[in-house]
Amino acid sequence: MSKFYTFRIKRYLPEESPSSRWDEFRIKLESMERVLDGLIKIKENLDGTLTFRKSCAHGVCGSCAMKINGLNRLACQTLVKDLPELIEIEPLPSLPVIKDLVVDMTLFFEKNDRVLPYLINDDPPPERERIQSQEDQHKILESITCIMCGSCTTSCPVFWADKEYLGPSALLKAYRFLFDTRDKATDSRLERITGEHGVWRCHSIFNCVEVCPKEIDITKHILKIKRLAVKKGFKGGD
Amino acid sequence: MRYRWNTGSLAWLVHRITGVILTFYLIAHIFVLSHLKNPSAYDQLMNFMKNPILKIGELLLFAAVLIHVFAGIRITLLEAGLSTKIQKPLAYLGVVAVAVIWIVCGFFFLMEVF
Amino acid sequence: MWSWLLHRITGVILVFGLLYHFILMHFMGHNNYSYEAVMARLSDPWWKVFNIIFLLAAVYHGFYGLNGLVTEYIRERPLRKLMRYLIIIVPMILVFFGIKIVLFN
Repeated sequence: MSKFYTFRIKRYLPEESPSSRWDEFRIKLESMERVLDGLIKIKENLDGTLTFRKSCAHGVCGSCAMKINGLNRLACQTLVKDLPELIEIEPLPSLPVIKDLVVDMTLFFEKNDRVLPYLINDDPPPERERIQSQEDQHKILESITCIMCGSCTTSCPVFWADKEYLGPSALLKAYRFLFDTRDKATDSRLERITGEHGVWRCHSIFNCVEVCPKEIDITKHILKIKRLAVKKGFKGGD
Repeated sequence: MRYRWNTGSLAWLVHRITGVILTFYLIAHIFVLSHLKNPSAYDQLMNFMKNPILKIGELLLFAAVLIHVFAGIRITLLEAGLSTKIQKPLAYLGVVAVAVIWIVCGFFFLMEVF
Repeated sequence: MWSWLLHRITGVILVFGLLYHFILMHFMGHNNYSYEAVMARLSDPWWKVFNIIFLLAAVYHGFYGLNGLVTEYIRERPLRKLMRYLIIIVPMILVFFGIKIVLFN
């Protein structure tokens, strides 16, 4: 079953005009097609200058995150049949826009780097890999599924106001290594995320959980980090 | 289009706004009460507070206290380890609790005055 | 971390403190907050202790909250610095006057 949809897209073309504008495109889409299919059709048939990021188109790479009808989501994972006839599309909030729906993610990835996003273990490595039990793997399983699309961090009202805040994505990454039984850098990692603009700036708003395309309960993970930090604080250190 | 509100962000917003209101009220509250040196000044203030408009103001302030308290209890319970799966029911429960307590206590409060 | 934890602890203290405060001041009749009644209560040392703890908890809780707002919303460095000073000085003044009236009436 096909139906006409109006795509109202926030455009920003710095070489044409320093200010942004809204463009409307009317296209026919099958009910099982996604917002990304609509964007591709518009770019191919109606306006070749429309700019957006896409890669895998199957909810794995995380590059087509954008604000669709007031909520951050992946364009490749959002079916048009679940949306009203008028579909409003904007770039991810609070990051600098480069062109149309493409935002500058530098700040986002800087936050990620801040939490030492790699396994730290100075013990001599075993002959093959460092083995982890299934139970231990389950502790971090949910956090590992993050695709770093940026939906969560740019949905967070604290991050909108405070660009120094680490944000849900970086904190989730911190969790992934803090609770990895093979990782030995708990103290130095905690030190990096418990500052003024770190984990204590999370106010359990749950905007990040609402938008995560992988349905990760990010707030749950951040709360666990808080409890770990308090526990470590009582044991000394901090 | 504005970013869509949801349960958690609304709870956070009212928690913030009531928190700011209460802190500024606290400043006034402590400052005024700590500068009452004699019974006549005290009684003068108490009579002034009997003004119906101020009574309504006090009821609104009481609502702010209740909202802030229950939003705070919700966040503290979640931080203490209660499942985040029930964050929304907790918020709705808080709204009901605030409404019931406000209406019941507000009734007794006004009875005392009139 | 400790400042954050103390914010939560003072929050819990305030819930119980407020409960007591409201019942006493608003739901037990007029005479409970007459000048004489307040002064009579203030002569009890335990009441003084309760009041001082209540005062400290409320002031800390409120100003820690405002400090968070400054951290998140005020970007201009000089203004931020000024607000940080105010957030230290104003509560100290409040605690000074509060304790003074509780201890020496």
